[in-house]
Amino acid sequence: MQPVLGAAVRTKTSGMNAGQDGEATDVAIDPKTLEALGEALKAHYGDLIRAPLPDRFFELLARLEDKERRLSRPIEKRDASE
Amino acid sequence: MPPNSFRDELLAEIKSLRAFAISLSGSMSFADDLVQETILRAWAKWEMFQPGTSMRGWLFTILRNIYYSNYRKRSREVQDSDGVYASRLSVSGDQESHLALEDFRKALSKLSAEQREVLMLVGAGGLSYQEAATICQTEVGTIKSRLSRARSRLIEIMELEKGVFDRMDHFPTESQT
Repeated sequence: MQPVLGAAVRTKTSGMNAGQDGEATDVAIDPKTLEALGEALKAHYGDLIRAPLPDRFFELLARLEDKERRLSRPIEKRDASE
Repeated sequence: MPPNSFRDELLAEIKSLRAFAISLSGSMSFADDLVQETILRAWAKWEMFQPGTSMRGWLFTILRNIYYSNYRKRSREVQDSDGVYASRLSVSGDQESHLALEDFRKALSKLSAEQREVLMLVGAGGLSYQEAATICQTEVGTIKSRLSRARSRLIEIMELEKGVFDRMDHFPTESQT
């Protein structure tokens, strides 16, 4: 994992004066909270990434490849060099 | 026919594609249909992919376009905001970490799709602002302000739901390096 959060915190401190008219910015967000948020996001994403993939995607790719193979045969006839 | 290298790269990205789809749509069942459609479209347009560029970025862009043009309305009606997908997915961690993640997901589900996607791409997926901007077909500045707003909003929601931050200590930590 890249130090995404660190980069985000730096961005925020350099943008201190943005959003003075009450527009939502996280100027006021305490770095610890920001860090906790980053960890939560990574935990969430990590959990999604670790989940096993359903077979349907592998089956789909196998079907696609199969179809391509069958389709490519008549075309090969036109090209004698193949 | 796409070369094997294309197939292999595509295959290697399906997990992250699915994670992105779940985060974007907030629904497991939609996410899998979304991934399926993305694979079909990527396969049909394989010649459009430039070898050496990011397969992940390319696939995310396709998925995102399909989502915003076909799925967005439908998935809003069927969000798994009750934590259905969380309980079906969580394969690791103890009860506390389940609860913490589920709370967090509920909070995430209250954000707009644009906010969720930027949090996922930059905050969780570790993409640069530039990569995220390319995927979302927008400017870096827009990504930064969306990210900033998404964070503020998420924290706001979580502060309302008392105790979410307290339980964060219990998140599973395998993903830490």
